[in-house]
Amino acid sequence: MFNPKSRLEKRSKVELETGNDEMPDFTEKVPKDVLIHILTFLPLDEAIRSGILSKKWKDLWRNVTHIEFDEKKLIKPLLQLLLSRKSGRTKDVTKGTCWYALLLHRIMFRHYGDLLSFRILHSWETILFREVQSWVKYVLITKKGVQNLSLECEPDNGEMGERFLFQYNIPKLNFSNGIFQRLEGYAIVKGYEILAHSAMVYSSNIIFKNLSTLSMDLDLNHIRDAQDLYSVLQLCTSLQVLEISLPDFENTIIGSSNDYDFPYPISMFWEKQELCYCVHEKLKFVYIKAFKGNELEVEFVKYLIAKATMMKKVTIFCNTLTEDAENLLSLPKTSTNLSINFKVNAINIMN
Amino acid sequence: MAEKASPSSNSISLKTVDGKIFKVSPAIANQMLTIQPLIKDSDSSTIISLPDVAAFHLTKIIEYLEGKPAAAPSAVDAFEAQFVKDLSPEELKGLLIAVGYLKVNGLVDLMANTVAKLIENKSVEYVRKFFGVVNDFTPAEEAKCRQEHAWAFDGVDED
Repeated sequence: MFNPKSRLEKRSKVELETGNDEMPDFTEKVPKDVLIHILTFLPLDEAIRSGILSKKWKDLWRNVTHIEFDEKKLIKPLLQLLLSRKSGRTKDVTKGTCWYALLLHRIMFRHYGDLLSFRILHSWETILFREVQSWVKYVLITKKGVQNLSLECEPDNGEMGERFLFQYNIPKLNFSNGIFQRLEGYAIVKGYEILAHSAMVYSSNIIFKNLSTLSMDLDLNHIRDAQDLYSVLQLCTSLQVLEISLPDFENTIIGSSNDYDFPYPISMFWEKQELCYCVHEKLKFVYIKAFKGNELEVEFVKYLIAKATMMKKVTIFCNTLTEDAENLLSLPKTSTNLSINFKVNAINIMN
Repeated sequence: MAEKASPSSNSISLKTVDGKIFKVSPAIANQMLTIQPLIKDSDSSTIISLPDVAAFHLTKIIEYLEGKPAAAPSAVDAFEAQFVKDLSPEELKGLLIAVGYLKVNGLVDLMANTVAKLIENKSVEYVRKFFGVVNDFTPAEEAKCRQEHAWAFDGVDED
């Protein structure tokens, strides 16, 4: 007979009751880490509210491994307050943002466990870009083991959305289209511009060196987007999976124009770029969503086919298969294992 | 099978709190992290007692471990949805205790998420009742807690 651990023996007298109308304190029997686990699945404000269930619960939320600041949920009372005041709107938005920022800082300081993932959602009107930067910095400095860090600017009033996923030593980065609006000066910044900018600023940073998956929303048909993509790719020396979502709407807010000075036609942009290490040596899977078969999109795929030696699979999601796109299939491939797949009418199946 | 074969090739006997004995394969038992260290030293005569686990819960846990598809995430999702679908809240809570005690791979997440969904958007009183939590705060202490995180309680409807 094996030697049961005394802890087990002691607890074996405890009777398990189920279906009991008396409702014994269920949580007495559940280890704290399991309770924390439950809280991790709740919105942050609910997790924090659980603190008033009883003394045992008071500080449990401080250990959750996922924090998600959803402005719509967290800030609701605040926004209502702001709306009820009819005075100078900009000033109130600024004030609201500061308030919100303070609140987030306060929550972050109170949290003491490690974080696996951290996500911020906001509507773009109320976000201060600098605040966002400082939150990211705080998390990167103080929290170990973050596997997922995401900043998202949610579509608001039918406007565009933003996602900004950032991390130190974790292999997945997500970045989607949209705008941050800086309140000072109302400069509109596109998400991947921030990414490209960060890539410059943090170029020696392992964020990009260790990155194995990058997903971002951008419009390959705009040369600035293409340039940004190229500059990010140059830094991501371990990148194996690239997901690109093209916009499936007309982009009117951001006047991305194609009037750039190149000594060659814009359609030759990709052809003219120098060889990029990750594309040449690392990249294995590429997904392109909402592919329309426009010239620059096709050129980008051609570039991959011609340069990527390790490429295994290019998956292209499109509504209709254009002739140009179909011609991609017959191009000579650098990688012997490469397969090119078209998924027609399957727009949202990325994973 | 040779008698000297490694003990882990034998099936493992698990005894639930209500006295039922289950024989499971080491592959299954090994996914219960709490008993993992005990498996190594056990032989065919070993019976591992599980103080916080009733037969019903162990049946469900084994059903989960044996039934979970190894392949596509979508198949796992469908399987998991089906798995929790017919559980009553009481069964869920009991199972959560058992799963939390045994630290069953994957199932901890599923159960925690399922319970979280049941208490999401519910009032404090509802959740207290749901868990059978006894409020051990004095009214003053509770008010202080609410005050500390006033924003989280502002504008929240009581059910």
